[in-house]
Amino acid sequence: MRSPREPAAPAAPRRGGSDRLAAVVIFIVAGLYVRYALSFQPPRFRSEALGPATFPLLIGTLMLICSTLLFVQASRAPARRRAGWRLYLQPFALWTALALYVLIFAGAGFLPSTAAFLLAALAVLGVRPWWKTALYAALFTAALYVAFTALEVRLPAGEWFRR
Amino acid sequence: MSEVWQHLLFGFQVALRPENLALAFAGALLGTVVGVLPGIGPVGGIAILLPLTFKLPPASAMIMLTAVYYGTMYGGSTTSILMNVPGEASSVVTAFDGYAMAQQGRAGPALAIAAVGSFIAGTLAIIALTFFSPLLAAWGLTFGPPEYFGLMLFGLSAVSSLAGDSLVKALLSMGFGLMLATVGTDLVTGVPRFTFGIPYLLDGIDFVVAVIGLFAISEVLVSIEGADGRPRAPARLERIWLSLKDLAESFWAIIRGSVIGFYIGILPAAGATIASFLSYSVEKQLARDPSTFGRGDIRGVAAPESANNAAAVGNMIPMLTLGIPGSSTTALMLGALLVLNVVPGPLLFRDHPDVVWGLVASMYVSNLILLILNLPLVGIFVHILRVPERLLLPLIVAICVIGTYAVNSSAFDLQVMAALGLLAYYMRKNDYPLGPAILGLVLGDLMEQNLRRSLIMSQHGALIFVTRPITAALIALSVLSILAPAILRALRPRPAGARAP
Repeated sequence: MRSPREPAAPAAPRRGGSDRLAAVVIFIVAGLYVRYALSFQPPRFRSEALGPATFPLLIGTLMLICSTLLFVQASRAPARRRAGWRLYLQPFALWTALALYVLIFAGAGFLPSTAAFLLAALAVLGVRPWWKTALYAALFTAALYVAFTALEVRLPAGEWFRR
Repeated sequence: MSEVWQHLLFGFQVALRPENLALAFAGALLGTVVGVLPGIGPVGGIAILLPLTFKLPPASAMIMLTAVYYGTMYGGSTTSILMNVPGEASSVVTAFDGYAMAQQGRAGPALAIAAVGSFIAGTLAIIALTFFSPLLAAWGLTFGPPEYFGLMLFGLSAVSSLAGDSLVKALLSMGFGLMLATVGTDLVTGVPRFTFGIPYLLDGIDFVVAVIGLFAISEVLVSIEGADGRPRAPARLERIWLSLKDLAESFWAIIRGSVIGFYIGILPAAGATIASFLSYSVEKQLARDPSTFGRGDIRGVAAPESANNAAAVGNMIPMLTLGIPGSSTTALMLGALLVLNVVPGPLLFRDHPDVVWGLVASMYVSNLILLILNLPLVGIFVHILRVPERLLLPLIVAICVIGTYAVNSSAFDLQVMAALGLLAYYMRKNDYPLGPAILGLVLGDLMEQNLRRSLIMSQHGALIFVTRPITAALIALSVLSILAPAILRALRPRPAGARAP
């Protein structure tokens, strides 16, 4: 089993320099979180400690303190080597394909959206020639359809085409 | 004692029902297949296969998940031995000697000892769990909300203090998980919290959706970085066999690995990885000729494989008896139980004996199934290993999307899953451990409930947390676990010549 001790990622070039920016973003998000929590109405008949805001305020405070500490630590730490941006090209391209897939999944329906996603994802990952990419996409889509239908999973038929 | 036997017998009656046996077989097989996939460890594997268990009764669902868990662990060992690619952190040590054995043409004995060692260790650990858990659960029955709050705080702080390289990042990750847990309608006051007027968020962020995004999608994105498109080349595998000499040589390594693994597994945060490293190091120190380790010594495979299997069982004890997961995997199991409307903890033994004892019995059964299934089928798994990652990874993403959609048939869930996947990818790449996040997500709601109950029953507000001895001790331990690394650093003697700041 994977222990929480290890960062789950396999060994990859360490990148740095972004910790300070991350600390600022987390601080802002935590600040907004605390502000939102303060807007919750306290309970009328019970003490405020039992209200909906108490626990979120504790979490928000923890995040504000830790993000400040991260900023201080990152400012003191020596700059770390950045990995080349090319490393992120394929993951980002696949994530973009995923984002588009989830946006059209319910509307376009399982078959066209999955086939389109697999075609795009396989192409992004360099499966060539094109006829092979298309063949794999079609085969995988059919296999997924058969498997999940057998498992009685309700797959979207496509709301756009029903209108 | 006879009561334990009766419960266990009842558990076997549940686990050996034909439908549950079939689920255990399917779970072990699917788990192993997912476990040999590139970069997908047990947490990612369980996350991907979690939606398959929704429509099942709680006992059957847990039996299947346990089998999946065991299967993914064995799958991870297979890739360690045949390809020097550990599917999970706890299999890293296995690769030292396992891969060396495979290169010497002894992949068969390496895989066989991994299976046999896991089987023996798992069985020993399960016997210990069978007798140990009811005692701990009985003690847990004396706990009130303040003790539970203290226990959860300790679980969270212990995991965070040991996770990753940076304590601050681990705490931020934990806070992120807790923040996610607060989204949705507050059950006590009915106030919608952090929903931004989006009706889909009124029920909160679904645990399964979050887990698939955080673990499965981010794991795939990380794996893509290393996918070069070439078919992978596992070591040559003749046949799986184990001579009596190999077994005799490994026997005590298996027993020692089992004991170390079980006790390490019970401790929060100290999971299978520490157990496998520790048992390997113990074997190396006990060996007459330690130089054989790292060069294909069968004890170097037997010890860590036994230890990580026993630790996986030990990890279940605090989860089942006290409702406190000590690792990401048990946090996932706990989350799955909560999804099935079963609350783990001491009352679980009384209210859902079929779930507890069915699960315990299914561990025995899963161990046996894996032994029967994996040795003859390892050739098929090797074929899966030969499939290029660039073909498999898009397929895994599609399975994740369908699995997420299957939860609530909600397109919004898919968007949350994709967004969390990208965020978790960033976290992985920047050394934010994900374990604390998932623990925070699972425990957040229960922690808040126990905090509130504690304050309701208290006559003196927050003083209740320091006036009750067990709670006070747990809170002190939580503080200590967070501060310990800094204290140890301060106490460590500086190397000669180092300048004072």
